Amino acid sequence: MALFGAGAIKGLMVTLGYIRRKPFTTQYPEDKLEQSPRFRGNTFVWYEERCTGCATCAKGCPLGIIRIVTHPEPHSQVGSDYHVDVFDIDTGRCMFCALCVEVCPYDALHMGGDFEQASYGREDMVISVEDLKAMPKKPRTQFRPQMEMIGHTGKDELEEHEAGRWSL
Amino acid sequence: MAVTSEMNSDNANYDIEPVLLNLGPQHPSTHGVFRIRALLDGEEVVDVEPVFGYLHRGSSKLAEERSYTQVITLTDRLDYLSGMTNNLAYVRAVEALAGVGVPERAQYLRVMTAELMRIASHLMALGFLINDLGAWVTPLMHMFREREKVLDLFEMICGARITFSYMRIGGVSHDLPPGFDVAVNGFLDDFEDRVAEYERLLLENEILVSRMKGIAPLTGERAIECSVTGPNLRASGVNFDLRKQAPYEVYDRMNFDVPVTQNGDNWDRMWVRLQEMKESAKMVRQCMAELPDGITRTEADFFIRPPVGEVYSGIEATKGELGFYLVSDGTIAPYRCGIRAPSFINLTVLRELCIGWKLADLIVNFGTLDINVGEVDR
Amino acid sequence: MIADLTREFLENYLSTGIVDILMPLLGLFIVVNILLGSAVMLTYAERRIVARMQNRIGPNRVGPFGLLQGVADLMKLVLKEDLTPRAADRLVFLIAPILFFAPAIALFAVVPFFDGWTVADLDAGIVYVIAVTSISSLAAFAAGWASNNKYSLYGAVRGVAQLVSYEVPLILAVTSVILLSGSLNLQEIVEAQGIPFVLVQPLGFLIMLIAVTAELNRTPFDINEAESEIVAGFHTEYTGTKFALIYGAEYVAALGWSAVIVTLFFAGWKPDLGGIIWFGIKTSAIIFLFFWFRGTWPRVRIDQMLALAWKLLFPLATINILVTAGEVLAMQALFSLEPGEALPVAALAIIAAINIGLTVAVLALLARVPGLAKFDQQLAAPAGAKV
Repeated sequence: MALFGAGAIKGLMVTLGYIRRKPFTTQYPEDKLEQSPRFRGNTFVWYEERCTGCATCAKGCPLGIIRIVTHPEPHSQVGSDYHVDVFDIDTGRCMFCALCVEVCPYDALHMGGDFEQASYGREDMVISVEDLKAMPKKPRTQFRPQMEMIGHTGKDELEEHEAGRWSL
Repeated sequence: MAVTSEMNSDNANYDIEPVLLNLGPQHPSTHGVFRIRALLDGEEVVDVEPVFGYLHRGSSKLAEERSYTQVITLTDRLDYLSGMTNNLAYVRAVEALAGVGVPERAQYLRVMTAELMRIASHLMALGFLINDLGAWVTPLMHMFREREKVLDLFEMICGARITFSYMRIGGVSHDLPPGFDVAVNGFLDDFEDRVAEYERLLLENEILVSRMKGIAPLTGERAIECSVTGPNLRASGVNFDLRKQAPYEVYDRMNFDVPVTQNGDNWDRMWVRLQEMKESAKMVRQCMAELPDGITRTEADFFIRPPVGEVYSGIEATKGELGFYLVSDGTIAPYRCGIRAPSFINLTVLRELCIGWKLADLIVNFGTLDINVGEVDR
Repeated sequence: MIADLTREFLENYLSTGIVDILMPLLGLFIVVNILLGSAVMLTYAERRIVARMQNRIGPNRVGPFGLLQGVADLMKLVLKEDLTPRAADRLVFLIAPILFFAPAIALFAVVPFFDGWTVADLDAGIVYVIAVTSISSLAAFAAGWASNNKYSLYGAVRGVAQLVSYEVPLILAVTSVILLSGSLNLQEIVEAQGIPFVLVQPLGFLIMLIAVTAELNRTPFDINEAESEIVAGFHTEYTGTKFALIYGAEYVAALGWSAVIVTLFFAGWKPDLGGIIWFGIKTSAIIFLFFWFRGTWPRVRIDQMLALAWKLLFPLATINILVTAGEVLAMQALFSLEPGEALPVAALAIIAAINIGLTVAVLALLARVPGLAKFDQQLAAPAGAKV
């Protein structure tokens, strides 16, 4: 026998059941959720040794926010070795699509996993070449299936010879 | 609760001036920055004028100065609650233009991610709808929780939770990560219980039934005249789903039903979405079971140059038929990129759905149409 | 006892006349502060409880377990700039929150917290309750009108329609209790409850609960501050301290009404298990009910709500009174009681049995009424049908 209001009571029982259950949410600064290895954070990992300064990443960027200035190494033995003077990535405008990472032919640029990059000004959001050099080399496996193959989860530091599709 | 009442509508006898109420652009239930200029006679809606453009970003124009691959990132931001289907619609158009084939495994992955996206998008549609109905965000939070799990799966696949950029011309950007099948099956098992819970929480509630059943019906003929697509059309009794009528990718191999209802009222529009989520979950399971081995991407240039020509390609996105019209002049960027946004076209019926109903119904009608302002304004 | 000690202490220093004036003021000071404190804690409790229903944690940063969240919110509201819209009616805009808050507190004057613990033991206590709480509809209208805002005006007009409509079933539901107890005094109503009246008057309780929910503007009847429709209704333009007053008044009123419901239907402080604590537990349970509704149900529409009051609750309450009156007369004949004499437990038990049966029958009957019944959804056309 159905009673008037039984449907509404059924709903009440559902919500009452949730009072006993553990909350789904976490307390952010104390408990951080783990990101997947492919997670695209707000930083980049750059291996200077792998980079040739070809600026393919700058061409691949949909927003044109990567600025690269290079000069030829004066005493280079190879003759086509370029030194990267400026490598500005304006993360204030970046949408972290990882197209620059995808197009990099030498696997020199990778996505980083850090997402706590708040700053007080837009000018502070520009990652310069010094910042890139100083950043911990913990690349995420976005567009880098070879890293997944060696079991890299984005939490450990990788040497430059481990990060590429072929070893240097 | 469902006591029906007829308030006196013979207000013509009195000298009453209608009230012009601006709902939005900042309003708790406008789903973004949407504005409704509502002319009200007491509680009754006399006229409705949607005003939009507050979220206009010029996606079509931006697409003209980006290479075909780079435009994928723009499509993420059209309907930001269903980035995967936007990606899919766009890359299908480019593939048709450039004649690029897609490996079978990639097709399965596309269908799977699109259906997961449909689950997430419909969850948001229902959650915000019930929130508009006045529940103190409880159903919304429960649905957010399930959406979070879908987004976790997407993060596993492509590293992002909202702006995926997962599809690529000629396939998908990533193969499945290790451990994904366990994760997705775990989610699907849990999801069935959760849907049953939503049905217990919502479907029999007398208040909800009386608020939605029979409110603002849309006939099938009128829906077709107004080019309404998606769940809104199927709620009006028109069985039209591009996944069945013009199967793309591997939808012809999928076993799924298209829920269709006859009344076209708010209740049906909600109910159709609830059922579609179940069907989508079925499809995801089937995709994972039948997933063939192989490559996930054919080699297509990053700066692809399709031959001169034009193409229109539409898919059944979460909110209706999402189509891209691309014109190529042989360069690396599209000459024109037109977008048939289902949210925008479904808005056509908003005025006639709302006139004659109460102010509270206006909000609900707007909610059941499931508009995404990012897609309306583009 | 504490009162006597305080009086003795004060009389050492002051003349008896001044102490006579001071003592009620002191009592008021204590009661009002306890009420304000509980309103602050109730906002915290509601947020925590509803958060758990939503599978969240809720406020937990300020103080241990977030217990000071309400205090932090209050401080923030009090320190906020107090804005008055330029086109507002300044005087009414200022008075409305006070008008809203005062009756909520005044309600507690007649609540019997314990045997003999009543600030003012009025003979017509229940009439006072209804009279005082009716002021809040005036306050809501004043606030909405003075704000000079369309949303506020809509909220105000809705609020008046709602409160006026729900006064009627509320009073009728209370009347059935008065019939049973034979008194308007809340203390005597408590004493008359050999069996809690919720069992004797289940239908009356349901009507009372619905009407009080509407009276308090709580979900599912929060249409005069319906967030998704009219932003915040009558208090859209209020900020700072004035908003805090309106917000707090809702919780104080919820507390007051819960206390009244406990008094009328749950035997108040009876049975005597540790004094006021038992009363507090019952009141908290009723308040939890309001939180629970808010955490679960959507809102009804204004016309449905008025229809519910006039077309369903009003006739039901009237029938309920007739049935109760007949039952009381029959019991008086059966147990050969004088008119006005309290009914014995046996008589109450018989009435309870009849009324519980009747209530279930009424609810079952309502479920059969077309339009009220559950809506069975069916798949319309099979997949693949012609377009």
